[in-house]
Amino acid sequence: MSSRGTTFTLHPNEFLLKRFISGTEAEKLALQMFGHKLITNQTRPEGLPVNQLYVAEQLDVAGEYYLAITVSRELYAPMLLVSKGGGTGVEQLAAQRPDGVLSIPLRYSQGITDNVVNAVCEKLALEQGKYEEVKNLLTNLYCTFQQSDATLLEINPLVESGKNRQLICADTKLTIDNAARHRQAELFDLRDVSQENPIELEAEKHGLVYVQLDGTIGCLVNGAGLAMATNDAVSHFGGQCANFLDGGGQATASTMKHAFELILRDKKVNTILVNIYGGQQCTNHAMFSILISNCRYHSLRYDRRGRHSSRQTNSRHTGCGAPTRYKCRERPEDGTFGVSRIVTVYNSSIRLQIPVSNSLRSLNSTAPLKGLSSSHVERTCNRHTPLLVQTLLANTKLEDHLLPRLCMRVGTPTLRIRCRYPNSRGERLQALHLEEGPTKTQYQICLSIIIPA
Amino acid sequence: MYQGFTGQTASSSSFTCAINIANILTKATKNAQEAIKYGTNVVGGVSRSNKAGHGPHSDSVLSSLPVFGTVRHATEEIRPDATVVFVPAKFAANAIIESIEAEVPLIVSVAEHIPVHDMLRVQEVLRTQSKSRLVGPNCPGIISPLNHCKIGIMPHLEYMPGIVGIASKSGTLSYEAVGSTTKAGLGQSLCVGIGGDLLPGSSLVDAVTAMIKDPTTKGVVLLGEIGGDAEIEASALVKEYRAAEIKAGRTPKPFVGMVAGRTAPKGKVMGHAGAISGGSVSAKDKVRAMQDAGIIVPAHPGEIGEVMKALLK
Repeated sequence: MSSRGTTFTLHPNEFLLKRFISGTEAEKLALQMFGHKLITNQTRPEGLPVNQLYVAEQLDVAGEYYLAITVSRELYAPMLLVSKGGGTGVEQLAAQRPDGVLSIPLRYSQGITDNVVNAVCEKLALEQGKYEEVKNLLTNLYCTFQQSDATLLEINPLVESGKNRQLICADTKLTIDNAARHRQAELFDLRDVSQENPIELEAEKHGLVYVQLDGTIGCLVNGAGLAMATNDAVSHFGGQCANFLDGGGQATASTMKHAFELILRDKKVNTILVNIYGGQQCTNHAMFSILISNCRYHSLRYDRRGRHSSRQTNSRHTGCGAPTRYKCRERPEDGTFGVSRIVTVYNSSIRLQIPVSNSLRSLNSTAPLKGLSSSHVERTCNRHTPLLVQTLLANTKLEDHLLPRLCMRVGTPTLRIRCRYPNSRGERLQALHLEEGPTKTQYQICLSIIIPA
Repeated sequence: MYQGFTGQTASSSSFTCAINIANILTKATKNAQEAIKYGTNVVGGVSRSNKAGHGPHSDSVLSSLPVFGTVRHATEEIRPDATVVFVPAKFAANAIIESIEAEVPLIVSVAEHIPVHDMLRVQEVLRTQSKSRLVGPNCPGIISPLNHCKIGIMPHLEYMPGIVGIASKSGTLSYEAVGSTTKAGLGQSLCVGIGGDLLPGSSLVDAVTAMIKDPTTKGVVLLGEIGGDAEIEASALVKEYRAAEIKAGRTPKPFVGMVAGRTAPKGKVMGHAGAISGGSVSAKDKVRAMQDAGIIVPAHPGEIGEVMKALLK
């Protein structure tokens, strides 16, 4: 690693520095770090695994500076940030003394101009002779910023060597724009996936955006804004989401299937909330059939022997190829199984009601569900249905301890929804909000959240 | 409908589909068919495969529409008021710049995942001219239900002609607001999707300005999310507007707002390129700024319609 007498800096990241002078010492330090988690204010709370260490020569530092090129959302242009005094404390420094950081907006096509170089030299109080060196440094950095599709290129610290007064980029952070993947293949090959959440990576493969959260309610939503608003709403009603999942604008049968699989991988999930805005996709019957299949499947059968139970989803009516087999997981800590229910929320047309009513049925019904066609539901629901359901559920919410069993007969006798709350597991319906849609035969469910008591 | 936004009225509004490659052709064609059915005056399209000159559209329903090889050629011949860019993200920046150079007054870009550096290039061109306005990218577009004019990919059947203006960073969240205001019987006058990207062509401030000026819009819904500080700026504008109206003895238009991402974890990109939490401005700060400006912030999207209805009484 190093010969005795040379000083090295063990430098996995700017927050964790270990100085050592000998190979043996380096080995000892390395062993203390490998396999452990690194937790800093830049990592997620549970930290990141230390699989690699960065060893660098310790420099003779005469001056430390901070230099970064980033994208300004306010000015819609690249922005050069410079400050005197870099290193680990630069965030605090910037917060305490905002005037300490000089920001220079750049013209995208022009990049580094003489004026920019002059301003930087002045800010860093560098000697006159440094002009050319700074200009070269900045020009090269801007070139890297452009060519690598970076959204952040940070040099922290930029060091002025005590030996020959040369400027040295001692540590770098480069953030590459994900949207530029197609033209930055070489850089994306360097990605260390061991540092990332495996479920999030899997989601990415299928064109989904998944972010792990701490709660128990799995969410499947299309559209980023709606997904965030759904998470917020669950929190507003006292629940906690297990994930953020944006299914993207194209909610196809296959993305839905992958989304369900991802949510089910999270062992904490005991409820799934589906909030798909129907809109353009509502004509896609296959997708809704898949959803129904999922709803049917995931109203789990409880296996008392604690074995992994599995059931085939019935895809006969979906026309979507071979039946899919899913596995349910055992949760040994409390003896219950993975997902106990799916709640489906739609804000669109009548067709989308099927999964809602089916999932409502599936919550407590012991009989297997029969597939309902959209025309069937359209025929059997009347315009008073939402009001009726709303009223009944409002009563349940207020008086649930007085109503151990609630049977609802909605519309004509062929469509019957049975609910029983609180159920044997003490779970209760907390909020369900049904609304009549724009046309008299359409319904909307704004929010229906079921949270175990 | 676009008064103050592009200086054009809806009745003369037209619609150009810039169509670049074969698989997108079908998507744009379908969208154009729907838009025409809705009432939009579609005047033609652009396709790279039509470099030689111009000819009729290959689709039988759209065969009366000319298809051109370049945007410049199209603007010379059909003078569109607006163009919607259906070109995929990889090539979208060049298509947008081509439209700016051809001085199309309103450019709507729906593509998601346009690289940031491409948008930096577009922004530089965009901000040195005054003929064109860009809406998007990564947005559903603009719709005026009142004038049956649609430029974008929103599910137009859900919209009802009415009096509420909706400005939103998120497409699906704006559909929720549409559903909610339709349900409340208010309907929509103008809905503008700003898009969830880092560097949008038009900001929430631009959209709010248009809605304040638009006489058919009686109330405004402002839907923001984490990332950036566009909501703060828009709130400041609303505050100023309300104060000026009250001072002049008039009743200001009511505003209802929401900020998605209150529960988002720090440092994560939440689906939209621009939705990053943990910056200098949090969702809470934005909500506070909205409330401070007199914007009513309901608890969840389902309440928007009823809250607005109560305010409009």
